Amino acid sequence: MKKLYYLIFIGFTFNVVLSQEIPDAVRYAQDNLNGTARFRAMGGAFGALGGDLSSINVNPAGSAIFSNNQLTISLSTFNKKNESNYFGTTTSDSESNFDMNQTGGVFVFKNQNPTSNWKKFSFAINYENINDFDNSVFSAGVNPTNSVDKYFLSYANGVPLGAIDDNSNNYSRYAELDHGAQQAYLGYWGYVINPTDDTNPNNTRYVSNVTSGGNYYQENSIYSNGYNGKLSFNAATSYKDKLYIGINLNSHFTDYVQSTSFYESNRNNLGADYTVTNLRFNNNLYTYGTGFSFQIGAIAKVTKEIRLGFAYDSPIWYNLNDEFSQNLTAVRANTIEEKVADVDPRIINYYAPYELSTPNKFTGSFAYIFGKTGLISIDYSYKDYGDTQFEPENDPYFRDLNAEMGNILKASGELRLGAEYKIKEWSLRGGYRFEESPYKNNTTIGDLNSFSGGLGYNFGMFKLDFAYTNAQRNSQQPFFNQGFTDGANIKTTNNNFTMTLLFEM
Amino acid sequence: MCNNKNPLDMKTNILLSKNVTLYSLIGFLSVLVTSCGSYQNSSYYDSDGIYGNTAREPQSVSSTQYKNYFSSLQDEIKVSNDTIIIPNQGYTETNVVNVYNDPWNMSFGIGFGYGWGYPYYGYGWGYPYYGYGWGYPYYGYGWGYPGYGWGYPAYGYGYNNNYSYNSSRRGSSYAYGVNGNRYSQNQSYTDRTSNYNNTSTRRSATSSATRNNSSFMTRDYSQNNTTRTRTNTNANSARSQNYSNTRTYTPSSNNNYNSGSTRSSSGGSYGGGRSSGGGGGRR
Repeated sequence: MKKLYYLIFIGFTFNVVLSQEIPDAVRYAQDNLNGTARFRAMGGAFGALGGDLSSINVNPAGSAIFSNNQLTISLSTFNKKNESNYFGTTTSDSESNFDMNQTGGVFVFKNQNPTSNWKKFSFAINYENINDFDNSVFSAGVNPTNSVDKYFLSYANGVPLGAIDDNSNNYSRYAELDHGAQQAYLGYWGYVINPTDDTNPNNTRYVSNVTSGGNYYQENSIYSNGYNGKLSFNAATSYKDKLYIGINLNSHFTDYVQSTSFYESNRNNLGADYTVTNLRFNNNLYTYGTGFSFQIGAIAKVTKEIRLGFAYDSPIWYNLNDEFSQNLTAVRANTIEEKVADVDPRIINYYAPYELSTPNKFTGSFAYIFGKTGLISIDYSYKDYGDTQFEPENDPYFRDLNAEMGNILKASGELRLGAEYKIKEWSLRGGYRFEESPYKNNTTIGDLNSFSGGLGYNFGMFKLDFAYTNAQRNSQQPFFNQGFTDGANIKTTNNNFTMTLLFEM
Repeated sequence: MCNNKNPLDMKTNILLSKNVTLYSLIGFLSVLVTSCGSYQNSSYYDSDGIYGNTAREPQSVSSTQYKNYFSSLQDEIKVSNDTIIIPNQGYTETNVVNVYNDPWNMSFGIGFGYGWGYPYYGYGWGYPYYGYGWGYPYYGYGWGYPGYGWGYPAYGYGYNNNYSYNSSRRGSSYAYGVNGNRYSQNQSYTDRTSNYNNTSTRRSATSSATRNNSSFMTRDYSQNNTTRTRTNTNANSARSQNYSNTRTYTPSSNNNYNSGSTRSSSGGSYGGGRSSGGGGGRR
């Protein structure tokens, strides 16, 4: 029975190996619906419609639909609530912020030569925060079997004791080690793990030194902060006012800061030897960089009522840099006393810059216009998350990571529905968005369901739009990448209010 | 050590570039809109491109009105065959310039009145955001440098940390790509427990602990299962304050944990140490 358990455990660890950077990749591969209030209220279903500055993020041909120059600014409040369930214990955490999430302008040039078939030419510049990374998640609960010692063990086994057995000069040796050995170093000097033979520098086997007995109380806090900005330069034209084609050249810039803090304690029976009773393990990550992508698209007015759209999004080619720091404090005790090891190397690791390319995306759209009173619109987008690639692709770690992403990520679709009804100067809007999980298991990050509604008023020279969006998604991300891969079920609820001020001239 | 500065500089540049991009974009757009806005017609009230425009081109109407007006003058002149011909021809010519001259002519058909109405709108937008004269007070060098001071604590690194280049990849294992796939080795460690030498010196009391307070620890919520406040005990844990952070904590019944605790036999001195926790300092 015990052997079976070990087998299952080993199988589990093997499957989730190399997953630390996969959530990072998915973070950049996914885009969150953002944009103007009209766009959000209608669920982002603008691929066949155009005529909205955010619509050019779906289909670049949309800027040629504009009849006048336009300048737009959108302000949003973001509220994220994370309800966590970890082995039956429920906790919750939330985060709010306020941001200018969109601004841009479009310029329309009408061809005054009535004999020409190219009726219109437009160009637009638009900035959007396509993903707001501000978030905080807190989970707590009692894990009946697994301790974080397995994280350290999974890295430490194979590391020669001689490489890590030196804590002189305030743990400065940490800086000289590679990532795997650094984890071993932290675990070793926190006394979370012990070598099987601590007199042999060639020893590469380690065992746990956490007090055995199970029932480990664990807490994990994740705070993150950042944005993923996209600046689009758009050009589009209209052929006979029937066919619209356009292109975007996009510049992306991102900044992501994540602090995680893991705490564990147990009250199991102590013996004569020191064993670890509580520990706190902190990890701080800062990722920043820039990227480039392009988009092409077309919209056809098949009849006066029916519009069709098609768009292609290239991968976003990011150049990213990571900075990473860690520390571990662990208390070990025997029946008589307790001792504390505070392993804080005070080192920020930085690594060779790397590239990340996100998957292609294809969008097909349909819309039906009811005269001047309203419309319905549908978009469907398709993206194969398994194509996400870290580069240099022949880096041995990235090669395995890319293969792993091909294994655990899948092609997924996104459906967006939107409707608008106009009553004189007022517009009423509603929308729905469904985004499929990027993971084959559908649980690491689940499906997203989002409902939205909004209101607009046309003052003539300017327009004012409001939107409310509610989105829900479940996820179960492991606390650590390998060894110790338990994680809480998180139910994330997003509530956003957006206001857009739109000037026409 | 000479590398220490580089990441700092890189990060600051990214931050700078984001805001600079944003503000200069706004400025640029405002300039463009205020300066080039005039080429479009004023059909605001029915201007949603999605629904299509009613075919209405006021500038054409006005220009044809002018055209008709001037040509009617011309006609009158022709009829009267008077000497006033020359000044009227001058008017006629200027009018003609506006019509179908250049297929992409942006200044087509503005009309005289429009140009006057415009500044009310244009300046309101253009100036507050426009250009460097205004841009700097928001973002200029005067403010840029304090950015260093604010930026860093937000990332939780503090000033005492050193940058160190790590030639491996974050998340990778020891000697990755050199050592082969380490994970095959995992299989044995769990079986090795029995080999563990219980007389290890690391486990005995001779080990060198460097600290003897445990203020970093949070209390177990099961010991005081009321609202959990996240007061920071660490000075350098300041995060940027542009969001509000609320936490509620709802302990559920976890009776199995409490009842499973059997530490009463040896917990005297230990329990004291545990209660010294201050709250979850995030570092």
